Formats: sequence, C-alpha cells, structure tokens
Amino acid sequence: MTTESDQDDFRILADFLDAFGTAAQGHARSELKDEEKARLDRLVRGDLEDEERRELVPLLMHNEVAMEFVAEKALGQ
Amino acid sequence: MEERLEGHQVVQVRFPDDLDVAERALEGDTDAAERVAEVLRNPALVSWLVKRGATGTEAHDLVGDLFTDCFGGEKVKGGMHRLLGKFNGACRLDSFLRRVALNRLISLKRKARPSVSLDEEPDEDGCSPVILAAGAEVQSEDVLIDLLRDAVMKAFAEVDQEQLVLFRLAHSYRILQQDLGMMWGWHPSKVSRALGALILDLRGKILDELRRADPWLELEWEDFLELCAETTDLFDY
Repeated sequence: MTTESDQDDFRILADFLDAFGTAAQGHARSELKDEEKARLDRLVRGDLEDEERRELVPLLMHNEVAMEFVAEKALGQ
Repeated sequence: MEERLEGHQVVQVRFPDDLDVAERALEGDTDAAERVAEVLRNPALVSWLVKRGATGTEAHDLVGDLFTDCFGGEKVKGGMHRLLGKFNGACRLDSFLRRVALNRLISLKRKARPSVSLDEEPDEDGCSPVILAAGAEVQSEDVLIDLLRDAVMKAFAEVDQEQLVLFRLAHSYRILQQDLGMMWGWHPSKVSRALGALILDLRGKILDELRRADPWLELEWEDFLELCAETTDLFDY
C-alpha cells in the first residue's frame, strides 16, 4: 500500500522526471490512429482484458499524445 | 510569489529574504555579507559534505573555495563571475551553497579516479585490467543534474512498465487511484499496492545506480529526493 510519504516521493520523482526526463526518454508526440483511439477509449471504460491492456503499454509509454488522450477522457468522466 | 526572468526561464523566488541578503552582500553591504559568511562558517556544511563521502580535508577545502568564489569570483572562460550572483532565491541560500559544494565534490572525485595501463599483464584469473577514466573532463556544468537524471532514467527504464504507466497517470496527470482501478479492472487497493511496489523497486534501482556511478558518494534516499526537489525548484519553468 502507498503511504502519504510514498505519495510525496512519487510527486517529487514525477516532477523531476517531467522537468528533466521526458525529453530524454524520447516521448514522441504523434497523432493517434483511429484504431489506437478506440482501444484507448476501451481502456478508459475498463473494457479491456489484461492482455489487451498490456499490449497498450508501449503506446502509452512512448507516445505522450496517448497518455494525454487517456487522461483527458478519464478526467472528463 | 515573486517571479523573475532569467534568460528564457521564469524562476519562482520562493526565498526572497535569502535573495535579498545575497544581492545586498554583492553590493557591498557588510551586514549582509556577514550573514552569508555565517552560512558558510556553519559547521553543518562541512559535516554534510563529509556525511556524503568527502574527506575532512576535501570538505574544508570546498567550503573555503565557496568563500572565495561567493565574493571574489571564479574564472569562467576568461570572465569573472561571483558565485553569489548565480543564486536566484528559488531555494534557500544554504541549500544553494550545499548543492554547489556537492557538484564540485563529485567533479573532484571523478577527476581523481585512477587509471590502469593497457600494458599490464592479465591477472592470474586471466582477466585484463579494467581501464578506468583518468582525469576525464566533466562535460556538464551541473554534474549533479546529470547524476540524478541518469539514475532516475535508468531505474525507470528497468521497472515494470505497466506499473510505470499507472504511476504517470496517477502522479503526472492526477487521475484518482479509484478511477485507475476501474480502468484496469482492479480494486483500488491493488492499484495502491502496485504503486507501492513500484516506489520500492525504483528506490532500490536508483540507489544502486548512484552507487555504481560514484561508489564513494553516500546519498540516502531522503538526500536523493531532496536534491531532486531542489533541482526542480532551481530550474522550474
């Protein structure tokens, strides 16, 4: 389980990574294909099986647009 | 909060009182200069460096150099820049000076690394001697940023990537764990456990990488986080 201290640690690492790491990680920004958007939509709705969800991990890790898409949908719900 | 423009960067002045002291000291205000000197004379600064891997002599020499450079300037490619003029109030003055000292300590230790000649015979195990960098020039102006960033980047590349996606959604994008649980088909407690496992894994890998890069450097996890937080504050934009 994450404690409040863990939450603080996460926040510091996230802020540091966002400031200094994202560019170095080579997070591309490329337009999502319709098929990718459809799969990400299903992720946000909780409609994916474990294996289907794991197959999306590389897309989410390497295309910031995909991460933003999921975040916008999730926060807009 | 006061902001100031430095080049293309907007810096948040979180410690305006410390910045005021530094600026007045640079202008020749003797009271302000004495306050800066008090920070430098505080034995806690030497102790802090020793606790992080400096010898007593190295720590005292580094602090002595800080005294000189704060007011007397350091030669940087033909120009003279007073160290105190680089302080921007984004962190506390003592944190700034501690950070400069640590940067210099890392550079010092790396330049002093021994090398072994290629001509040496392999040892009895048949292994050739490892050639280590000898007096290698430090490339970055801030070796500490490079050290912290490299450790974080390598650790993040090695951890479970699905947990990392959860981490980024939770902490970079502020999605609630219960919403992530719904997306993943997990109870929120399972999301929390996954993030807890990730932070432990990251912690271990980051500290391992720091030890690999600079075996003499003794940074605890709390030190590492504090340095990351200060780095983000100092270069916030």
